[in-house]
Amino acid sequence: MVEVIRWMMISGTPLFHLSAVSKSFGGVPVLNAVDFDLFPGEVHTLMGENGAGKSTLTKILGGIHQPDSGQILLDGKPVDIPSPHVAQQVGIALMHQEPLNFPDLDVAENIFMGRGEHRGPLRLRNWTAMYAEARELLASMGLDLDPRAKLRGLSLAAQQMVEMAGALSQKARVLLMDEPTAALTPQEVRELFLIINRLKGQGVALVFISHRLGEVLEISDRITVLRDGELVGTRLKSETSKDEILKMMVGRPLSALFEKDRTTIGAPLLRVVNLSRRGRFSDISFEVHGGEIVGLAGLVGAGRTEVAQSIFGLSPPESGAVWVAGKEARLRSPGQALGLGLAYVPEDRQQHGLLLPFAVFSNISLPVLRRLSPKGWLRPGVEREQAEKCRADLDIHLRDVDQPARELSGGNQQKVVLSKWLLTDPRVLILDEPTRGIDIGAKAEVHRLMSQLAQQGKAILMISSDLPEILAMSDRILVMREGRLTGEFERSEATQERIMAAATGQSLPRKGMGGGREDGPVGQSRGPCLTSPTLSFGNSRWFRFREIGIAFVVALVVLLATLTEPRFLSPENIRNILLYIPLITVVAMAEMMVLISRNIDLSVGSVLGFSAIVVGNAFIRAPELSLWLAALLSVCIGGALGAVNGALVTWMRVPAIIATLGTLSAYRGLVFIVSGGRQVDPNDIPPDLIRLSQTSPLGVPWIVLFAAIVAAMTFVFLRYTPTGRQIYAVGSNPLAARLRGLAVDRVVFLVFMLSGAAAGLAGFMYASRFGYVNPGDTGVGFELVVISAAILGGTNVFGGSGSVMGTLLGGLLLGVINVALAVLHISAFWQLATYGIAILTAVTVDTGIQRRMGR
Amino acid sequence: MRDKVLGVLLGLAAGALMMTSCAKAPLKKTQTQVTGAKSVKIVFIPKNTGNPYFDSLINGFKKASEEQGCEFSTVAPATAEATSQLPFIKEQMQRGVNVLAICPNSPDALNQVFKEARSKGIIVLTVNADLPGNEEYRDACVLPMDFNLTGRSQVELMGSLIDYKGKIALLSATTDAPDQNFWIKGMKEALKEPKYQGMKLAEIAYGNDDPQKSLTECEALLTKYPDLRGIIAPTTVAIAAAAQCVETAKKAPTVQVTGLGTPNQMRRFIKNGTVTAFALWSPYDEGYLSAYLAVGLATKKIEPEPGGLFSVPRLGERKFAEKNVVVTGPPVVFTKQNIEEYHF
Amino acid sequence: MTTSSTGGARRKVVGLLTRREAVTVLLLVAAVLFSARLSPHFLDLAFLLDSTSLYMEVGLMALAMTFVIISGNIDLSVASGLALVGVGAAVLHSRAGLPMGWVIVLSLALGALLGLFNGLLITRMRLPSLTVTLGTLALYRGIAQILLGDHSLGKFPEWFVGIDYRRIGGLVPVPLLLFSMLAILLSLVLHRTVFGRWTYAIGTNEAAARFSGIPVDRIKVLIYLLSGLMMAAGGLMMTSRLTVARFDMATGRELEVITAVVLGGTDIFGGRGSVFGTVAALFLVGVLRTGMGVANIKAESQLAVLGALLLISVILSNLSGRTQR
Repeated sequence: MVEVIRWMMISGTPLFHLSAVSKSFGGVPVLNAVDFDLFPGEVHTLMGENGAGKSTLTKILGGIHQPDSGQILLDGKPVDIPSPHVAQQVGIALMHQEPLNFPDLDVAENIFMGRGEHRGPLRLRNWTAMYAEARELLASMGLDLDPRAKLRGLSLAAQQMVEMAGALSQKARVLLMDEPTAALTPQEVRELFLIINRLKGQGVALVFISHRLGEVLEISDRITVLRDGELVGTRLKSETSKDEILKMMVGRPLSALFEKDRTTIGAPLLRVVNLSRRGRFSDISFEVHGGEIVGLAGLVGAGRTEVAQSIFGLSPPESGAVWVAGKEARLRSPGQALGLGLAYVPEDRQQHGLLLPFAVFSNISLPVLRRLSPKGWLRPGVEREQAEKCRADLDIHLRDVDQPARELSGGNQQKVVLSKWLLTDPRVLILDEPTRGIDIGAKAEVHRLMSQLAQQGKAILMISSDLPEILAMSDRILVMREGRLTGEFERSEATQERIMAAATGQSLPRKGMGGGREDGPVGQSRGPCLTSPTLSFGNSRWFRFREIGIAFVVALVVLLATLTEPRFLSPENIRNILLYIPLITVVAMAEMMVLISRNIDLSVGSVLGFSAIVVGNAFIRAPELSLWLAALLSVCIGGALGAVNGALVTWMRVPAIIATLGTLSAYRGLVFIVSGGRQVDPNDIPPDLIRLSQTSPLGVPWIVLFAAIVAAMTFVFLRYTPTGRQIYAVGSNPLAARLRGLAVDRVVFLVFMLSGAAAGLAGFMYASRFGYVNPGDTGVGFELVVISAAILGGTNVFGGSGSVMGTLLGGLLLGVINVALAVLHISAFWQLATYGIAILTAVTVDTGIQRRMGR
Repeated sequence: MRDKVLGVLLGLAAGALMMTSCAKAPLKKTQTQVTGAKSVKIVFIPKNTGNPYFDSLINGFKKASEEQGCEFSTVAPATAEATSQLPFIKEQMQRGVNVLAICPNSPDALNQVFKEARSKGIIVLTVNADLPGNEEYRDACVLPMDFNLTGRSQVELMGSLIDYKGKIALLSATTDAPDQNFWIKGMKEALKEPKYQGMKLAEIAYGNDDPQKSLTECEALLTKYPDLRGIIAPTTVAIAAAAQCVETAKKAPTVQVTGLGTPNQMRRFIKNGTVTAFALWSPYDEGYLSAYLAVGLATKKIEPEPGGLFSVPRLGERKFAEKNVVVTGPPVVFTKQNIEEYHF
Repeated sequence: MTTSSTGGARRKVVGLLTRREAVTVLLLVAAVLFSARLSPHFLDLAFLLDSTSLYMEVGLMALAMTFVIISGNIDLSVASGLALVGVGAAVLHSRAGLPMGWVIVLSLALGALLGLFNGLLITRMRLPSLTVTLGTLALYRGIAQILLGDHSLGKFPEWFVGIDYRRIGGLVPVPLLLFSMLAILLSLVLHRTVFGRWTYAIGTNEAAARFSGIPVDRIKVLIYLLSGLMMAAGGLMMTSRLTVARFDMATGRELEVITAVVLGGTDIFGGRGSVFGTVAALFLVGVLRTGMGVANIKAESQLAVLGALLLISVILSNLSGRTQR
């Protein structure tokens, strides 16, 4: 009661009040008339089994879902939260269960993306100010993290902290955290709680979701329990107990944790000797006996999963040996491991454990498919039979075995994964976080099953970050830290404290993040917010390695050509090279943006042709047409065609590669139809237009200047404007971008429109450069040239990264190669093959570098 | 299960298709019988669409067809790739044409289909390009000029522009273009004559009939041979590229460009002095002649055999040369003085 | 298909209507009716059967491409590979003077090698298939061009050339027959074998497939090998049809191949699709092309129609198939 009074004094009314909110998906009610309120400065925890409606409730507050009925009151007034963007504006921040961030962007941008800009002169981004604020913000949270570090290299925990920093940056009044601790180790949970408490002190209201009762009771002020979409009740922490909460959740009393039954320990079935893999783990030796469950504890990133995956043949070790049932196993692939009686249940059920769109039966049969299918022919009947058996054995709840796995709840999905591996009748079972994210009921069932399996004489290695689970289920406990085994305890001698000490290398849990620096090898153990040390050397701001690499190749080609034909470097020839690249540059810049946004535009060649033919015909009709008007016309026409592409991709949801494959032909058809198949002759092109590729005030032809301007504008756009940065964000993680409130469709649409506009401008330049426009020739195959230029320049075809400098160099390389072929009088027949080799070399080298950088 | 239902659907569609086609089968014909000039169906298939040279040629075809009252149509593939004409030939055969006039994209890749067409009684007439070495697959060939003279006349034209002295280069299409190679051989032979001893052939570059490649090759020529005096480009894409490149490099009139091009394409360069003179025959007359020859062959009024004569209104008498090649006429040299009279 | 079910007949009917293949089949029927209306010359069985020879090479490559795309990859190099095999066969026969039987065997081996090269680069070097095959698209045709310039090379024995003029029962051209046999065979492989299931699994979620003990890399390499073999078959078929080989054979046809596969309902991102759909889409495009050609519709308008068709079919099934994915 004391605490309630405290809230009342801070604020007479709750910050948020949800009354009788209901929501159903496809006719299935998920929330039914739920009331919920939230006061500033409290941690209000939502509990309930999976499917109880916790996530839906937070998503309604976060603007992702809209309630079907009921009311949301903010500061006592009704409010509508139609989108994540609006949620942000009213001060609500939502942290998703898996951090939704942009792996290709740095920490600071991840914090601020979609959450406010740091404007400098000309309303351009002020990076210095942004980094400064990020550094300050991180410091205020007690985090030691470089704001310039790419997110890709950070640990999961660090990524979560970054997401939290982002939420704080917008001065959020409400922070919704959906299972933030699910993937964290106890140590990291401590760090998180420190920050939560600090926020609480600042008056932020926090909604917390977790399955771990212990931590819930530690951090919460109030606890609300949901069951099957209904509100069961809200309790003050000080007035409730573990047992009461459990009872509210499952509707009946339940013992907190299942414990493993005693079994007879048999012969060692799995023996690992001096297993090492550089940068991951070293010198790992242990045994697991039949009938035994060995728990493997440690912080996330300690190398536990890597050891398990090495044993299973997913990433073979560099040295050391694995013995299975007394025989040495040289494991190169999971298939082999399977044959030897090993099974591995991965920690990421949805990404690694299951094929979500596949039917349950075909998921279950996957590892044993060969056995069930004589001579390789499928027998679905047999598969279904097996699946039915598993369904009965493990009590999997589903409609029928043909139901797609994605429709099942987390617990049932985990049972499907387990049965899939049990069907292989393994001798050794490796379970990686077997109960993460599944509700208490299912968790107990999984534990019971593990115990049964041990009784059947199987050897079980269980990786878990859930210390109570480790203590309850293990016969023996191994602890890893930084890739080494640092502790081994018998069940009787193990305590949370001893395990933690071995996992962190300290005698006591640390108080703050800074403490990590004093122990262990420098740079190796900075705790959860560790930037992978291999990454730091690749962080040059202006040049990535790739750009130096391609610059080197350009220089090499120039050198070779000049040695053979000294006139290659004559002023005229340099001019020729310069004249070769403007068209490529202009379109490649735009194509690069399309690629960065995780799309592709195959129609640029046809758009170029269309724009050139229209401009040419405009000059036939109106010879006095001003050049600038014609240029504008070409840009508009290109932009319009690009907008059609954009509309197809965004509104019609046609995948970009298909949409632009379609418009590649459709637009080419239009070129002929518009022109009546007639060529625009040199005579029809005004001399002034031709002169654009011949003269200019600065001694460089105008079209070269155009290209330079376009490149410079692209650079500024991509680096210094919010929209430009959003292109990277969208490409890096479209879902995260959407949930951050970025107008993803608008960005994608814009990128396609820009691509069209650039191709349109290139059409204008084409008319100037070549002096005539043929409907059949113009721009045919150009898409391959510009995509090649972008790829040679290091643009990632899967989105998220790419640079103006790289693409410029890519275009330059193509230009230099082609001019060199001509000047050296090498047969034109070599041109294609040279292109091919250049592309293959570039991507191979690039991937090699990326891998070495530990990407 | 679903696949079966889908299969049935497709089966039904196919069945319906077969039944309708069988119903039509009695109507099936090979070629419409030729009873006179008016019943002749001619199709002309140029290299590709959007090629201005053929627009003019087609106009000649149209005019002559009108005069004779026969049916004329033209279709063209979008690209000039070797096999792109194949489906068009097949479809025209199905449409029951009597004469297939074609500018073949390949000297040999179409042999089989020509054979098939001729076995059905269709006259195959190659126009503007022949099938060297495979002449037996066509009935006759119309060429725009006597190709034996082309090379020499180009050398003479260039010589007259540069005073028969200096380095010259060739900018051709592709290394395998039969006409180009024939002409280049002619040029090389002519250059051995004493009259042209002052002219030296520096290099033969190939622009693949691609605007970008032709331009790059031409620029490379200027880079490599600062003392270059002339470029002969006996193909329409290359001559335009060469003129454009010389204009951009401001090398005219030191470097003279000549070759084969259309007046429309070259008008600007002639007018602004980049190009002094170039040559071409009349594609219009070529089409006109082809249409008369086509009707004559289809109605059996003209028998193709070397030495045979036939007459064409307006153009007069023409002779079948060796391998049934018919030559349209001499080329015209276009200069500032006469270019305004030509519009094609 | 893995998600088809034994229970719930109504669900099946609804499912059928929302499947991409259904859209394709409906469009095919429409295309036949449309073409028949366009020109009286169209509905002629002999002609229609005959005209299939023009796109059977595309068909062969599309069969393999169905596997490639379902497995979540792409192969842009197919048309270039076809040209290289054709040129290779011509060089082996006419320049090296090998007997034709050997040439055929070696050509198939060459195709397999080209596919293998793609597959190994993609699996061993962990490179994206789009970039790798974009590179080999240029490389393979480039090598063909280096070998042969722009000459044609031929002089094949009589029994080898003119495969499209050989007809079974005086009606069905051999290319169509070969294609049909391979289509049935590969359809069985895709839909009824472990290999096929694994192909879907890899395309649905490669990591999960790997974790399930599927030899992912080996399967991918095999799929590219299959693609290579189909390039070879296509290359030999086209060479036989043209009687000569040239470096620019089938230029740009990779787009037609991909169009057929995507039009047939295969998800460009992998995990979904069928051989049946590809076959239906192949004939859809072929019939439409032939129909418009016989009606003397210009090539450029045909281009526009085919581009629009691809878009419309995807949009239509997006609208009708909201329930999927």
